[in-house]
Amino acid sequence: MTDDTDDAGKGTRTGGRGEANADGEPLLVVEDLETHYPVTRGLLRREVGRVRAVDGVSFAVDRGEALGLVGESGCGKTTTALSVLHIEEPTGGAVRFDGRRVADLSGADRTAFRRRAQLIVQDPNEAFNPRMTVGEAVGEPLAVHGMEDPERRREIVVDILERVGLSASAADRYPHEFSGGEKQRIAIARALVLDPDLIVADEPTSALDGRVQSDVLGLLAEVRRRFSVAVLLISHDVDVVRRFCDRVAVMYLGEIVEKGPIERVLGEPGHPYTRLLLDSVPSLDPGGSEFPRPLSEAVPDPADPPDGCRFHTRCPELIPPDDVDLPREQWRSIAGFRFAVEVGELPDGVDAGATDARTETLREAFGLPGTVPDEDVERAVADALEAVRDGDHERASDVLEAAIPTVCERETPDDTEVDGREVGCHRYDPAVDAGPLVR
Amino acid sequence: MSGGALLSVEDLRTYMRTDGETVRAVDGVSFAVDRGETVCLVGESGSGKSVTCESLTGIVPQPPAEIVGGEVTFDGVTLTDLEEGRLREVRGDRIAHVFQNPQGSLDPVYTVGQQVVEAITIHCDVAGAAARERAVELLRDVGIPRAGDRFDEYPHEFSGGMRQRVAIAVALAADPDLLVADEPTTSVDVTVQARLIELLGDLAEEGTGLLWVTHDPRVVAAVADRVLVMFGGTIVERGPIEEVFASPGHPYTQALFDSYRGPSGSTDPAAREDVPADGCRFREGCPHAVPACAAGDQPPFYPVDGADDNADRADTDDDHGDSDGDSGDSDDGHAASSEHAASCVYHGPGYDAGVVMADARGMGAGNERQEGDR
Repeated sequence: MTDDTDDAGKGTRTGGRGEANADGEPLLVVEDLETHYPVTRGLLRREVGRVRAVDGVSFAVDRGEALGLVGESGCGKTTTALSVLHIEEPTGGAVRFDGRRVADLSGADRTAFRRRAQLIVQDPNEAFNPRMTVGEAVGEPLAVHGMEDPERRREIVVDILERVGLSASAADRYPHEFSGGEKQRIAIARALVLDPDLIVADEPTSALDGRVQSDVLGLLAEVRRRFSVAVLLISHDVDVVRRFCDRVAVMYLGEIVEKGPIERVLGEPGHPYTRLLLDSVPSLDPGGSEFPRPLSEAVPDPADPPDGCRFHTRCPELIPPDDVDLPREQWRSIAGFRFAVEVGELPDGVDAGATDARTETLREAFGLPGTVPDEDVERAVADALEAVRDGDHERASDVLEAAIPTVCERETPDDTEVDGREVGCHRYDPAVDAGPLVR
Repeated sequence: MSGGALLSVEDLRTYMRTDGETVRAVDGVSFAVDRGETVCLVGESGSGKSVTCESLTGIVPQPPAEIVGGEVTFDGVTLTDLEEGRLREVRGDRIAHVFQNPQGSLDPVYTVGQQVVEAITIHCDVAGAAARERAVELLRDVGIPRAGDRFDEYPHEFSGGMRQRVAIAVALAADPDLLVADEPTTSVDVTVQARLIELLGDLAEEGTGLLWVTHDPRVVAAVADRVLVMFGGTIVERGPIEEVFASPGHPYTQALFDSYRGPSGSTDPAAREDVPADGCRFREGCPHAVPACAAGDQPPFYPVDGADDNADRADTDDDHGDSDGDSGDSDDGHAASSEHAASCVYHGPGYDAGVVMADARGMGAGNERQEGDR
């Protein structure tokens, strides 16, 4: 590799988390990264809001390490990848690469950063200029970075193509002559040609399936081992991350909710969102799949994320108020009722002119118990049901919000260290009277 | 083939003709789908699963495609003989399609309500207020919250998962007997996929036949009653889901399953094999290939494993599929179409099935994600 001589293997992780330590600072350190996009309106493009695509994200990647960033579409994982590389300028926070702030780099240093940190994108069909041969495409970064001698470039290109499992003759062909998997190999070759220290791979296998997906993942793993290059792998598929990475960070609505070693986080998820994500993937065991249900389905708007814990409007583990002591299922149905009304996900038959419906019918439709054993809550539920019957959803939602306040909505959870992983959930906050996640 | 099957496909062949080259996209595919049954067609991209689906009701673009042979029978009617007008009645009315990309099947300039109403008025004898009422009901059935309010919104105002639900509502407008779903959950998030799996599962419970195409064995495990594994335009293995997942009998099925297990079991970084146009299409990539694999159209289907397979083998008068042509032409000559069978010579007479079954690592509980247990 470049000037680093340490054996950048899997074993050289700094103290579990890899946050910036005095000396052996990890290769890539991301602190409180923020990328907001303004929402503008009118002729003067007045800013009326901000989409907080990435909102205070911190993580670190060691030399030779593979970190997975996993989450659903719209959670900000791709924006994070682009912001780390300063392809998208972050609006806040810091990215440090090899000990130096990337934002401060200019001239030759900036060029060196561009050489040492490479990007692989999801769709290999869009990654290449159709008029350039594969040899030209793979050799182009060499030319850009000052290698003038075409003979020399050709030599390196052929060597690298062979290393990714293609033949030397591929250099004279055009991208359209290759299959999707082969194109992704070429993309990997082009990322490797500059001998980088970090590869940011944004969904590198999502356009591929089956054995070809497995081959490309295998190639990336091989590349990582042989060249001891660090990989930041962005994926929506937890199984891909599980197969490839050492550590994982789980994103939801612009924030990281949990991070830690693969076997800890994916083996025993600490955050309710991680668990929802994992349990939503069907098991390979035929007939064995039962899927969890979040309190509400809709992912909130990143321009207007919920207060407190951003997951609270969907969280099946929402924490009840201290003075409310209800069986778990009952509490869940009441909390589900509240957010269903709030986001407008009403069950069958409730939305279409329910004014003549009896509240008992509504109760059933929402899966609520006949009577709630807690007097205050029961009164609020009955009130809210009446409001729903009258079509006044706002009042229903206000009544419920007042009757069952939750710490999850009130306060933003701090990241807490739990058995080697870091979880942002009030269930691990010693000041909150709620047990950790149980199966 | 089972006479009472809702859909039965016999030896379907669809070839793609481009630039003087002919690609056998679908090359002798036979299967059946019953009412209330979910059959999964699983395979990698390019295996011919989508073309198979699109050939059923003739929606595959012709040219370049040409359905060169085979018979598709739906509820007693031979679709492959119908003229386009009659076929169009069946399509939509009785057989509906759902595609991977809902953006492609919804029209951006009409509200979602109008699109569902349109499907209802075309296929059913209702219009006006009654059609609107039925449309709202359909949208609610597929899980669109506040369906009445959202009726007048446009597709772009819906999330990807919600758009796919609308596409399903359009497909269900005529209350079809068979739903052909081509990768319906591939472009949505896993939490949304879970809801769509439940939704389509409910349809099957209510008696709709479901032909579900996917590349993802995890989805197959969650939805299928029976599975058909496709490779290179042919079905290479078929059977009840539990049996196929517990003991995959075809080397290709084994390789496909393995690719979902470890971080690439293959150390060979070379690009994937070219697919031959005859014999076993997987032989170039198969660790157990023998000369007999190249014979005929496709190896016959032999029962996989099973205690009684000796009896089955004894009465097969056709030997190892090298009788060129005729053995391959009738895929189901050797194993009943509903039982677990693989199109692989090793399961036939004269070979030791143990050779390939030594690699059969099941996909079920306990077998999941155990690396290095070979």
